[in-house]
Amino acid sequence: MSLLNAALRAVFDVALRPFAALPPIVPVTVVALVSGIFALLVYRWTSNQPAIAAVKRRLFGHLLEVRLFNDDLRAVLAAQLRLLRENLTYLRLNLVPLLWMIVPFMLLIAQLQFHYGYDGLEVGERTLLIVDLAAADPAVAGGEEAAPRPPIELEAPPGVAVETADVWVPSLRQVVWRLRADEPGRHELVVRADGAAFTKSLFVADPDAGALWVRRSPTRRRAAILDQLLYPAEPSLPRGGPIERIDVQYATASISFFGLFDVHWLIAFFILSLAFAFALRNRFGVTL
Amino acid sequence: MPAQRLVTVALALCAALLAAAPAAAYIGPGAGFALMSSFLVLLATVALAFVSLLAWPVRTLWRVVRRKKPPKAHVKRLVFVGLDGQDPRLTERMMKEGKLPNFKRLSEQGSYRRIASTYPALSPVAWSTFATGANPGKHNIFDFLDRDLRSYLPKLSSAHIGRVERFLKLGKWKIPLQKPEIRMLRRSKPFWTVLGERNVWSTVLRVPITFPPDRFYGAQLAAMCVPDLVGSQGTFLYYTTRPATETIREGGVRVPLASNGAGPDHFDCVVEGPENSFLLRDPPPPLRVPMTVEVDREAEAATVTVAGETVELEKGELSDWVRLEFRAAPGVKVHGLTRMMLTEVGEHTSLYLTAIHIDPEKPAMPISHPSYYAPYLAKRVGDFATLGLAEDTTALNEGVTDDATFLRQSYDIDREREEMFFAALERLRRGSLTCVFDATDRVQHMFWRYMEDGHPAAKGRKTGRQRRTIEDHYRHNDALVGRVMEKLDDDDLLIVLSDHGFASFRRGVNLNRWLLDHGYLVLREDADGSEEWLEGVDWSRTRAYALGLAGVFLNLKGREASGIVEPGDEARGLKRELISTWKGLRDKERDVVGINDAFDAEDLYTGPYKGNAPDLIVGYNDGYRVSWDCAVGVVAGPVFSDNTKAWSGDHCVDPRLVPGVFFSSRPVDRGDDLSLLDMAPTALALFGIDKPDYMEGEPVFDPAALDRVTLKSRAAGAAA
Repeated sequence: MSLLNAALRAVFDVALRPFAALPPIVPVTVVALVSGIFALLVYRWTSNQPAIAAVKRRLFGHLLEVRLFNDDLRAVLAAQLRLLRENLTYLRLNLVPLLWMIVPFMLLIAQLQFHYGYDGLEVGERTLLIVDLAAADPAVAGGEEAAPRPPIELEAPPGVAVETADVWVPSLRQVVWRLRADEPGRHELVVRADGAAFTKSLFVADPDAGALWVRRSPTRRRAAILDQLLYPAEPSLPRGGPIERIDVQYATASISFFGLFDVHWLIAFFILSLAFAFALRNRFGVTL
Repeated sequence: MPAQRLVTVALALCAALLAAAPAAAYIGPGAGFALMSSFLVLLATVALAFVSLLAWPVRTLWRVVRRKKPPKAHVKRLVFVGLDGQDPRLTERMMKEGKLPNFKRLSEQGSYRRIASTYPALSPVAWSTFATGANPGKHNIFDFLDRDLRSYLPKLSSAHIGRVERFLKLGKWKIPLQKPEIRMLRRSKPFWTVLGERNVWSTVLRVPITFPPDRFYGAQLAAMCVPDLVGSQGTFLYYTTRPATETIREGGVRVPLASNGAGPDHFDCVVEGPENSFLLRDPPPPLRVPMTVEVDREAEAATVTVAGETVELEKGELSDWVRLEFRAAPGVKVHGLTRMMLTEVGEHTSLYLTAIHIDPEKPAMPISHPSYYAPYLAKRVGDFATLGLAEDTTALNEGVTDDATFLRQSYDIDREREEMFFAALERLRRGSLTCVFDATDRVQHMFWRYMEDGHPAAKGRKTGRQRRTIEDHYRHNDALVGRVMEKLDDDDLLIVLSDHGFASFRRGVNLNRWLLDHGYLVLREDADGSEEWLEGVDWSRTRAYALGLAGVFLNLKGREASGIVEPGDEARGLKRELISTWKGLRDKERDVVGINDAFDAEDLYTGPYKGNAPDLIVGYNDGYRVSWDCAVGVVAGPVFSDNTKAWSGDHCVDPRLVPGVFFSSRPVDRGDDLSLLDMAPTALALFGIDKPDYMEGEPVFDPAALDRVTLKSRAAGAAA
């Protein structure tokens, strides 16, 4: 999984690099178009197209039936029951292509989320660095709160100032620092614990270069499979190590939807990929 | 197993996703398709449920206020099954031989009678009388064709399709600002309209002369006279590499097929649709879709690509319906359906396409009432034939298709019809359902030649298996009747009937030739009579002419543009003269009577439209009919000639020779004098409605007796 994530990070970084200085709706539109086509192809190959066409015909038939027999309440209600039943059949028929699409789309969306899901820090802006430590030994008397604070240190590179001493929250086993971004660029913070060093990236935007849409990672986590799938922006933290996760707080980004309104990139992607798929379905001979 | 494992993994991922952050829960357009579509349907369903519930009391009240309340009905459902052309002589013989057990059972349970047809015994006339309960003088349908009084050219008798006159011109386009006028020429209200006025629902499926459809409380799918997409009554397409030696005379277009640079087995051609009235050109060019035909000579097969659809054809196999989409203007498409068959592949390649039917899902013309009824049926039963005369008799007549293809086509259409019928019956809780099945008529037209020895149309043909084709079809009808009977309850009433019977068509009679020989019709000096549609006739010296299948017109002064016969005594005298000459007119070559009688329209019809009728209706003898030449207005040739076309049986004879059949699931309260005129009054009486003044027939059931039978059946059912 780590290798796959590393490969995907490289691919997406390279593929999205030409769009970095453009409004994010542009790459989101391009990716939505490619995704829509990919989804159509998967749908065509994996779904039962004749059955879907048949169930859609029946669905529309029952809809028209409601209109046709609208004087006959019993007929109308019976048609509505049939509609619901056909709707379930339609959902069932969609399940198979849906399953085929889950993995590629999860990988895609996870990658895009770290490019377009967060605003970078600006010079002078402050953020918190939160380190979650691994659970204490359950044999320690008094539980988590009584467990000793492990030795932990933060090394900030030039361009990032550590404004506060570390704050230990025993109940959460968290250590928190407040940082200030002083210089633009991608910085590597180093957290030392139990004699090992763990890095965490921090991206600070360059006010002279305008908005730059590159990968930003708000979190680095342990190597659980689901976490690796959902948070692939940085290599996983080692299993069995002293640290569970390291978070940097970035603000959630909104992108302009063709100047009409601001929206989370995923909603724009949802609308556009659906629109492209619906628009191209006949060209690809797919019944949706 | 790998697939199962994959599904397990995917389901696990689905479960994981549920636990994931909301931003990551979207899994692409696939989920979008499913969720959006289902959500929309659910939303529509819930909205419809609300609207229906809220609107129902209002609609009910509105109906009660707007329409008269019906008196007490004597049946819950009235079902008319029309078997066009089912002949009483064949039916009676087969019932006697035990070959039609369901017809027999129906006759024993209720009644069987012969039922008188109309003058002439033609489907458009007969079914119009069935629907209106009136003679042709009141419903205005006298034949398939009428004539233009100014030009003497034929025109459709049942519908007028006008052109759009008002346009907005935009560059090379003209945008129509009005719909073309499509007007039904049948007059008098059909019984389903009268039932609707009294709040009784009717479903009417493919009853002839329902184009454009009636507007009434119910649903209707139009039939006979619904044109194809090019506006004709059915024009098949014949793509062939064969050199044109003979022209296709009726109902078809030959399209030369030539291979191009892509190889000898590759053909690029086009399918031509209706004229593109959006283009500012005169005349407008036809709409076209490109078609490629890739032939595999060894496999005797072809791959046809048209309008984005690829169809694999094997020689002699009729394809399913193929969709055609013609682009008329940006955003404007015209949709059609056709079926294809590779008729030969080898030295020559030939491809047959049926006439392009109006697509019922996206109809280009009004073919149903309400307008969404045809799309509704298409959603329920799939694509179906919409052309009025859907079974391609002309392609078989012209030798383009064969007997087996024609039968397959007819039975497929019959199956489509049956699915619609049972879908409608299933939804009908109270009211009437009328459905006409045409295949009986078409099969008899085309296969009669095999039933009798020495038919000129069967000369040189093997008649073994085909001899039973008509009988097989009657058995098929019998099975249908059995299935219908199973679906009906005690308080329903089933009537199975035909509009006319059938007779042989061995010899054709060219009445125009006879009129020419006897000086009633005169040709121009530059004409030899071979011109179609009476083009060579000198109207200034012609007193009578034949047009259509049974009618003869006088060239009446003040009516026809160049009329010379004075109305009144001269006209009456001329009619008497022709009737007396034609009565018992013999075919000297065969020494058989060719024409039994001729009838004066004055004596046959009453009503405001009898002036539009042919002046004389000709009653041909069994075995005789108007000849093919005469039917297309050719004067040349002999008066009597052999009919060698596949169309070898007919009913366009003396109507007394071809009554129809009448079966009912309850005993009729009448003697043997049943007529198609009685059906509309019967339908009304069964729902407790008095017949309007224009209806001439009488109800054939005694309502009180019906109620007694229903009560008795219910009591017997309860006791059982």
